[in-house]
Amino acid sequence: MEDMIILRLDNYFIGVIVDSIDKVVGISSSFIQPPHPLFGDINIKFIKGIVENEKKLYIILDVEKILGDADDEEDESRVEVMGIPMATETEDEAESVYDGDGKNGEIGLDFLQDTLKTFSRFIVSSVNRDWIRERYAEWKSQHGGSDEKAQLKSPEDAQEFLKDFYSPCTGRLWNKDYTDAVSSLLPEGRKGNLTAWNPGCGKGYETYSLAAVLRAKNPEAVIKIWANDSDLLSISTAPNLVFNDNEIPDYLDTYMQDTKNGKQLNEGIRKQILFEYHDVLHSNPFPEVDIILARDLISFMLKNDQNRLMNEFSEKLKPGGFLFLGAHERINDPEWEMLEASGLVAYRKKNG
Amino acid sequence: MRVEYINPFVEAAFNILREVLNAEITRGELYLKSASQPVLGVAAIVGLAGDVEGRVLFDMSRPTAIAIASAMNGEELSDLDDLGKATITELANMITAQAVTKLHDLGFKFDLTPPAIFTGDNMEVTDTEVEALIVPVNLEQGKIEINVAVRERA
Amino acid sequence: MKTKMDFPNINERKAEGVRADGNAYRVLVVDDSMFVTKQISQILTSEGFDVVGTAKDGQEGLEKYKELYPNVDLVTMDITMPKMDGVTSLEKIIEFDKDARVIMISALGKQDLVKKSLLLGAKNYIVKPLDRKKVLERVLMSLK
Repeated sequence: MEDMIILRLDNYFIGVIVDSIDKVVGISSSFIQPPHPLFGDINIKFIKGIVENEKKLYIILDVEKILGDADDEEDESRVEVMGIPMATETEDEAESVYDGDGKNGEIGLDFLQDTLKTFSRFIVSSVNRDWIRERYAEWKSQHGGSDEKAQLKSPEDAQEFLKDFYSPCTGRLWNKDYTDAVSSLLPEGRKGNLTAWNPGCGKGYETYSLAAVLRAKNPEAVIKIWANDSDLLSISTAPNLVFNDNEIPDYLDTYMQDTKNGKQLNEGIRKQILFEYHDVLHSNPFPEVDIILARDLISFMLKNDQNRLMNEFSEKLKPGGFLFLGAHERINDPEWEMLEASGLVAYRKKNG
Repeated sequence: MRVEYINPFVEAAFNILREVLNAEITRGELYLKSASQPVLGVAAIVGLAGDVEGRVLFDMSRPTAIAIASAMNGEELSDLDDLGKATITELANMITAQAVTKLHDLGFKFDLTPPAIFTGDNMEVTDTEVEALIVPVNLEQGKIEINVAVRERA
Repeated sequence: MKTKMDFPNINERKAEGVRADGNAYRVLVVDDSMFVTKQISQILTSEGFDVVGTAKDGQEGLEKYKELYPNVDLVTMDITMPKMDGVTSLEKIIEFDKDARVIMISALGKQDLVKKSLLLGAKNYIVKPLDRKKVLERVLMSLK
């Protein structure tokens, strides 16, 4: 009887006969760390992670890469984002519109990319690379100045690193300043239908804020907002979200009504919004819209998906329509015109 | 899927199954599925109409269907015969109907179409362009996947 | 102790499906589901009722009623059926016999259809899943 390991990869069962099995060690997946810069010289693509167990360091091989198909992350890194192919790894970024994110030739940044992905599911790509670069430089200097010392070692580290990435007023109703900035870019005085799509809306704070702003600027329009998230817990609370008095910026007072659990947006605002449990990567059933609000969404998607989603945005937005991405997310494509107001950046789909 | 539609289906499944099987049941994590979906062996489908369009699919293996039908009839069925099929169809109908009643109370006007049952190996249901909510339910007799795909009429 | 006769049953309960004169109530079961028909029949016959006929749709139900008339005391009528639904069948049966006793069986509760049926003359309704106690209770109420 040989020593055999049975592996399950998606729908395949593979039996691997080995010379001998020394021992089987059980570990919690939360202790697995990404490959350390130390392994930089070794062909790191086959190393899934490392784990320390009882004073020994184990290297975990990535079986899927070793035995699986070509359709894996290695190719992912060569995927063009936004449709412009990457010629070589050292191509000058300034020239390309969007470029794929292969390895930068900067080992610290390369490892950072992996750890951000592992710990926070944040994907570095041309959409956010500028901010990441700057942030890494800052982080490195705060952490001893070397690439090794700067590496993120835990989800908490990653959280701290990304802390300032998120858009203003994340997880709460928009304050007056932010609302004014957004408002200055939004259409006004519309009389017919005015529609918006808000993917990744979370618990709905930004959705309600958007609904109030649109209503304020377009009192006669028929407003409809489709808001969705694939986090069931968050989206389930959205239709009945209530707020304490101290969570409500003054300018929103007129849109609030009392309930026994706190305040919520009034019926007029709430009936404009349809909250759905939906995975934005599944087929898109929404009609063409005037506005898309997708803050800090695409940075958490794999590059292939970022591409797909940006294409969806482009298809679903009416010409002249507005796209709001995250505060530190940028696109650079001739199809989109960049707009700015009080530090807020938005994009408008060009006509024709 | 609209948030308000979710609970009625989950609750109806629980209530009906607990009542007709007189046993404790547990639910798995809800999730969303897209593209064509393989069927476990027996599929009972109830159509939805009214303010929305779509369908509810009750997916289970043949042994599970036979065990459930046996329990509901108070007698051991050896195979999924006409009575067994009628029983599973009726189960699908009752769960969907209760969900529709709850939705009615919430102000959503849904209608049901008469159920249909399909059996076979290697069956696949293909509704392209439709995302479905999956509610996995675990019973002593096996697992049922309740697969709901419903959209507002454009 | 052995005996050659039945012991008298002091706790004998009267079967609910049997009238004072000793005859069983006669029931027509109309439902497109083999399972539901079987369930209702089993519940009723176990209490002494006599299931005199079954039908798979409203049309067949109406025909059987006319055939068996006046020897049907109660009809159980499913609402959703192919060819002719329960509400239409109810309407026609009442047209034929204004004293007909029909009880609606439905998977939907508080629905417009149930309300409509009651307005058209149905005596009562039962929501599925069927529960023995509930079925017997409502059936007996309808027969009074």
